[in-house]
Amino acid sequence: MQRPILAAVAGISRPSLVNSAVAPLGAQLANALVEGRRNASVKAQGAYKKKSKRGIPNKLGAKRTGDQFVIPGNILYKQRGTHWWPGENCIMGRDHTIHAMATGYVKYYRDPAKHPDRKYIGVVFNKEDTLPYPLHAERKRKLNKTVHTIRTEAAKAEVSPSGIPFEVTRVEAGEPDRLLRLRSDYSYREDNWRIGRLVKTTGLKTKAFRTRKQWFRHRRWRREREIAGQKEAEKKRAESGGGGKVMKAISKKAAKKAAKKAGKKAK
Amino acid sequence: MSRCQAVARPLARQLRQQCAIRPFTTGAARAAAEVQQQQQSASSSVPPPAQPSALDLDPNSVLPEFEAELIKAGKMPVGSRRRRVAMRTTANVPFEQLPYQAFQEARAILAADRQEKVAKIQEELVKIAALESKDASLVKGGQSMKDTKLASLRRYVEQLKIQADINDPLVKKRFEDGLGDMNKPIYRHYAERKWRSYDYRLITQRIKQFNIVPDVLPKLDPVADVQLYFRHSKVAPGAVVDSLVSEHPPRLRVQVFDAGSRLVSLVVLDADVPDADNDAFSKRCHFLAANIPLSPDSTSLPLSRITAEDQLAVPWLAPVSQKGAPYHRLGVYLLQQKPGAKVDVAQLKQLYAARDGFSLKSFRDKFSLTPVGFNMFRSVWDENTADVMARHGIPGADVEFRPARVHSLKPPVKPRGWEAKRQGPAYRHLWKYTKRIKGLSNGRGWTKRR
Repeated sequence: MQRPILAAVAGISRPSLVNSAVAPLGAQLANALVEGRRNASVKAQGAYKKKSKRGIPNKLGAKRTGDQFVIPGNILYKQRGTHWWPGENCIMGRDHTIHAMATGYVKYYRDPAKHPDRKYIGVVFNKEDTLPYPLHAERKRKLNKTVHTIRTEAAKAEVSPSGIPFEVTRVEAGEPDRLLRLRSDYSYREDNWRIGRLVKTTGLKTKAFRTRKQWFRHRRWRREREIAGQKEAEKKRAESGGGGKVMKAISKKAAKKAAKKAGKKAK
Repeated sequence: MSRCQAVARPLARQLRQQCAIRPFTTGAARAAAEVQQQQQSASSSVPPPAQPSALDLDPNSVLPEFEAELIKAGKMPVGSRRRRVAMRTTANVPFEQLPYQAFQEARAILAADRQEKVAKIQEELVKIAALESKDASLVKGGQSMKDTKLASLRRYVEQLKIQADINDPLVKKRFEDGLGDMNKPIYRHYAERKWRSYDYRLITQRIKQFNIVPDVLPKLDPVADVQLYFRHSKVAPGAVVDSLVSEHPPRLRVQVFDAGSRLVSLVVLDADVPDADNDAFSKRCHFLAANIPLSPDSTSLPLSRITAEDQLAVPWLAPVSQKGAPYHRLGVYLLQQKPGAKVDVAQLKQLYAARDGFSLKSFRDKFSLTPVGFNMFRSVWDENTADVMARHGIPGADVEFRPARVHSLKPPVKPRGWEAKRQGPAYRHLWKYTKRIKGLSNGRGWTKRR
């Protein structure tokens, strides 16, 4: 039996659910319900409203309350975006976190003179102070330094206890002076870092280009020049009647070999 | 060209004025120079035309045939060939009579405008005289209104004076050459405009970014140009000056932009003297002088020359900064005294001889002064500071400031980890692994801190 005819016979033989070309509308709806299909006009039953039960909390919000004692670096507020701004003695981190920059007490405040609707977090040195400080009043600053006497290094002896000098200089004509120092094994040797410095005294050019950018630019120009030259040469060849074909430069030996081969073929 | 002209032309060229630069001035001085130059050209032998003269080597007046030579020498000819020929030949024409029609027309318009302004000034002066002679009771609004009107009229006259001269190219040139007479309003106007365009902005930026307001004064808007010179070289506002350089007092260049002479007080103030006992900063006066006469045309003010008994109150103290202390802001403050009022320097000496704890705000209020000028430099510890302090007997070169240690708020925790747990006698069999570990413990016990 041929295929289309087979399909027609099959359609006749059993009632089709899917084929709706002949079924009436009521039957169609009923069929859809049986199949479990839902139209967009029917409201869903709330699965999309359910929040996921598990997740990593961001732990945002205030980490220090007003009037709380803080030291430099303490986190005062974690936030996404700038709900709060850094005020007196505070800074804002990369992720908008507010940090204290002084030892003192936290104050949450507004400063209309600075900005009409920003909220600020500040740190004051005295708990009784209120922020913002009065306009045009001198800034309150702390030195945050302690006094120490300057320690001077004791002069090192020129000669070691064994009677030989700690360092000697090797002088050679036409060469930079080399400082050799006494090592623990009683040998005299130059410091490694001084040896490294010697490269600069040779006047050698280790890098042709000062920057990476310069090198790439040079490479680009060089290629452009090459391509331009090749094109020009090609044009010249065409003018001189070369026909665009290039004779490959081959050695005498190879030419001889080729001639021999050609002779063989001709035979 | 007729035969006669052709013959006379080389001769005429020789007799022409040979001049490389065009003086902007007019008058007798030019005539004398001209005569002298003609004499010179007459006395010198006639050069062959191929030889370049001084004029031909000048890029302003080089002829086409010598251009190549000049370019080879590295000098490019200036302007068009037509202009260069004009420059050679019209040197003896005064600037005002340059033979360009548009130029002369423009000059006529400007002259008419100036005449108009001058007439207006005279008109206003008559008005002022009439108002001055009028009794205050006859003026509507009384004495206060009369004063207001007079002030307003005078302001208008000043404005007209500037307007009368502002289009004069000679005036502009004189100002740009630095030859302007600062007693004249037009030059002061030019100078102020120049100052406001850059230096004023720079100084106000320094005032803001270095917190001079509000640390030293609650308000400071400079109206005079103050420049600072140490050892004959200008110091940019806010620059860090080596202590060896600032050991000797600087020279100030002060330009005021309002007419008349006035007396000023000068204060050099260090706003960042560390006060370790109170964990704070204090202020110190490094120089204090009063009753210094200042006018628009006297600009140089070397601090080392202020020595008079009725001027110098506190002599120069070399600004130094101790090791480790944050930079010191040394501000130079120029305060204008009330017209005709002198400050009692003896009282100043008595009040501020101690230098420390000087408050510019209280000084300003006590002697009713107005801050008019400001400049500043900074001082930090450098390799010369110790020597400078020793030379001037300033103590504190042997100490340094180090950042104060801030201790954590968290309570200490016991040592943790595998080794720390196995230090006790119960783990005696492991002691060879848990004791005497470099960086962790030694024979006396656990050494590693949290």
